[in-house]
Amino acid sequence: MSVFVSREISENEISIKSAFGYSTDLVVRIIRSGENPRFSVLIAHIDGLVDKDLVARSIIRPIGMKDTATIEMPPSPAYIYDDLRNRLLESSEVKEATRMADVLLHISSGDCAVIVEGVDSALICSVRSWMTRTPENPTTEPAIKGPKEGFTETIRVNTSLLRRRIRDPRLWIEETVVGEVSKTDIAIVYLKGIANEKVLQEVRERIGRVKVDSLQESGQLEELIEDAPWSLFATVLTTERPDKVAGSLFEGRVAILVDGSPTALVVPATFLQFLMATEDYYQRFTASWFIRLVRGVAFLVALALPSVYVAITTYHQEMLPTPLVLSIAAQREGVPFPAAIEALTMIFFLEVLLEGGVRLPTAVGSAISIVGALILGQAAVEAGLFSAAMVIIVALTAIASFTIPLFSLSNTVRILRIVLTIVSGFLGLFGVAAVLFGLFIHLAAMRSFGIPYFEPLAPVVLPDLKDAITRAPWWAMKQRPELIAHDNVVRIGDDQKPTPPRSPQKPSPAGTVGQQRSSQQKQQKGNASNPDEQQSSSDQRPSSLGPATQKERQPRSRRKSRR
Amino acid sequence: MFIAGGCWDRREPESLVFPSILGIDVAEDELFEVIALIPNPSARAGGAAGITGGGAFAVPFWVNSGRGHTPFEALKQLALTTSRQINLSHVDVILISENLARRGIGPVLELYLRSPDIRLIAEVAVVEGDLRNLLESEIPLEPTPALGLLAMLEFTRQERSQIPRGDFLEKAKLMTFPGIDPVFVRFTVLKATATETFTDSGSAQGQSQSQVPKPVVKIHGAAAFDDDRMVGWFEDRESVGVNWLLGGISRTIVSVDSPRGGVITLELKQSGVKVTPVVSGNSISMEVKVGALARVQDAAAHGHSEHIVFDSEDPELVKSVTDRVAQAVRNDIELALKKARELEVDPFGFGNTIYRKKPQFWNEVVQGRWIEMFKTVEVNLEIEVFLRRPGLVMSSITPR
Repeated sequence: MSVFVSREISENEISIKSAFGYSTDLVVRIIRSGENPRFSVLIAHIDGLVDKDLVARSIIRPIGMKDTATIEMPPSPAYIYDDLRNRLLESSEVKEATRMADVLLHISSGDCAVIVEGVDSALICSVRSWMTRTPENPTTEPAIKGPKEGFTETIRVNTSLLRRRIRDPRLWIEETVVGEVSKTDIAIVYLKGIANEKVLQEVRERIGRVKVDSLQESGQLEELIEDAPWSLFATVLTTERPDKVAGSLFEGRVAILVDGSPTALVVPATFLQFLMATEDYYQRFTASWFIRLVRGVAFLVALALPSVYVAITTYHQEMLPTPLVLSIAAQREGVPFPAAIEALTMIFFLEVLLEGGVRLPTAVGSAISIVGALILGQAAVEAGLFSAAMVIIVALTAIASFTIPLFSLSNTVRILRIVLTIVSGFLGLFGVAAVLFGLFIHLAAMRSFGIPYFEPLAPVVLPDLKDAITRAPWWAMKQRPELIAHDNVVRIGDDQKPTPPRSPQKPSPAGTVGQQRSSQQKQQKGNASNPDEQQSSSDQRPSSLGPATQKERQPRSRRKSRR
Repeated sequence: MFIAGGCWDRREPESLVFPSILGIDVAEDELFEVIALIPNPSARAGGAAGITGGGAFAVPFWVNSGRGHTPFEALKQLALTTSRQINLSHVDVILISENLARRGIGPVLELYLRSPDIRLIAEVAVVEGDLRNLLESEIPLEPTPALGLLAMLEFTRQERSQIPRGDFLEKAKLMTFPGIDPVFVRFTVLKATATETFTDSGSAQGQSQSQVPKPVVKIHGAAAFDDDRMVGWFEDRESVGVNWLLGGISRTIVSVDSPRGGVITLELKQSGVKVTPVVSGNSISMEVKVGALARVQDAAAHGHSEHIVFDSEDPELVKSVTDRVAQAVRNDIELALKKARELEVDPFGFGNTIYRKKPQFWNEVVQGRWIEMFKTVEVNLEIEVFLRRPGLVMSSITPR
């Protein structure tokens, strides 16, 4: 196989066919067209990756219609090549390639290669079209209130979903290819001017370092670029939601899309992000405030409840109210195992149930909950294998762990729960406290792409605490996370807290400051309930502010999601 | 294996017993006797007992005792006859027999203060009558006597303010203060029912059908202590009087005759007391101001009265009733004072007030002979009662 595209069309045909091992989905066709002289054109593409109608309509037909006889002087192959490239090929995107490897890459990516006899260069027409999923409701991160679309497996669809949310040229997309064999497209998406250049450089470097044969899912890439590969905690946020990614971009984060994976990676990630659901930003802040607290408590319950139960009942009975200790003692009467063994066995059963539920087809999946919950739980207590209190504790733990919005964190919690329970079995509350202490040290010591993982709690970043354990109202969250977008942090204009309009008789005292500004404010306040109108009102703002100040003052992300 | 190796001091709750009452007595042979009331966990939750198959043996609690030279030794002797490890962390009430109280409760205090198990919020009371009988009898409505006694202590305190406040720790602290003596709650075992014990529990159903349980124990004033020895009883009224001066009245009732005939019962609440020692030369007198709010709760006319027994819009009547209430309070306090002087104890803390407010006078004159002085010290009582609320009606209804 020659390295470059040959002038001999049959040689090229053999090169391509042999490179693909005469695979049946490879289509190579040689068209002879024109009169005096006749010229040959080779067309190669993969069946199933291209729009066949488009190939016929915009490539084959123009070539066939090329009538060399009408031209007075006999055209050279180079002339035909140029004519095809510049005029005839009705494809929106035509590239040139001289290296055979590039041609093969394009063919396997779904492009159509057009090679004119006598020219050592190939024309690459973009006619990609394949079966793809339409954006559906993201199954892993459903939301009651909020967009119902999720990423698909096609990177182009995914970038378009982001473009639809951020209509600004400052949404920059850098593409690279990772995977020696799979040659998977990777897109690094960020908002120019908000994303931290250092983080961006780090992302580029880490992706550049990756040397693998293939990349099937963003999870693989995550493991190859994360900060703490041995840690139980994920330092890269994963999401299926375009709104969440768009929101993250506005916070100055960088998103990494991987072709073939419906899951986007977002860096830098902080621990508290894993406890935040997208919906928190769409609910009214009062509800979000409460729900986040509930989720925080549920996280602790999911993490530590079995271990605390084991510790208290085996070592610290004096901490329980008398009726409770008697009732626990009564329930444990006849249970053959110590509380720690009992808890670990129950947790193991729970894990088996969970895993079984995931692996089974949905039709059978519901059966497992009946068998698991009703039959096993009930029967185990009645048979005296487990105490009823332990079943309650483990069930409560399981339910609490379902409140964790991100699967990666709930997996972490599942493992840590077992560690804590083992330790509490022989060290009591002292052991639980020691492990939690170590855990906090670990969390506070980690970094994700240069940003402290436990920010804004350690180190304390006061403005960021508005969106941490709970959430402040949108009009109060004036800043982007300070450490992440430290060059450009102002995100919300002044006086955004909506108020009822003042009575029209009285002149507004704000009128003295600047007529234009106060009128805009009034308009915004009046329209505060309608984000679309408000958006348009800020779009109509005179551009005399200049691009530099505009970036500062224009509340671009006011009503958009942050995550 | 790994876990089993690590948890040699593991104590599962089902291998422990949690006595809820410790009764401490002196036996005939001068040894301490500790009687522990141990609730039976499997009898508590009916469902759980059924599950574990232990439903047949459903005695709700067990009383076991041991004897020793100290209460702790007695406890350890008790352990010899108990199948499970004894954990004192859930002792709610410590009961002391009158016999032991009169000898001195020092040894009990030692146990209570030294033990890492016993909670410092445990209540303490002195029992008049057979301690063992009280522990072996059932208290109606409550699953265990401990909960019953605890509830009685708590609610009687609120409802009638007839017993002194404070847990064991507070009493122990009072013992170390100069010029004040502690008073303990007094339980009296009611003789009529003291013999009806739970021992014949063969058929629990038959028993509950045939017998209506009667009250077994009564909260009944206070036990006066001098240092750690009990010296006598304060009866109901006297104990209320003690509480008036200690500011421990949360709610109490007073019945007075109405000038218009019949009896009015008032509830007194939101009381306050202020004690000021007044020194003149080498003598001292106590100025005591007591204030309380009264609320008319009931009025009973004898026979078919044609009078309005109480009318809040009649200022003369209100004044007269108020004065009578104040007099009733004064009577209680004077009763208490008289008894305290007889017993030569100062539960009111007059001496302590002097010690705090007139330290110099205390050091020079009072120290060492306070009880002598207490017997003769002049106490000027000033009692103010405000009748603010006539209840939900302004006056009694008038039949026409």
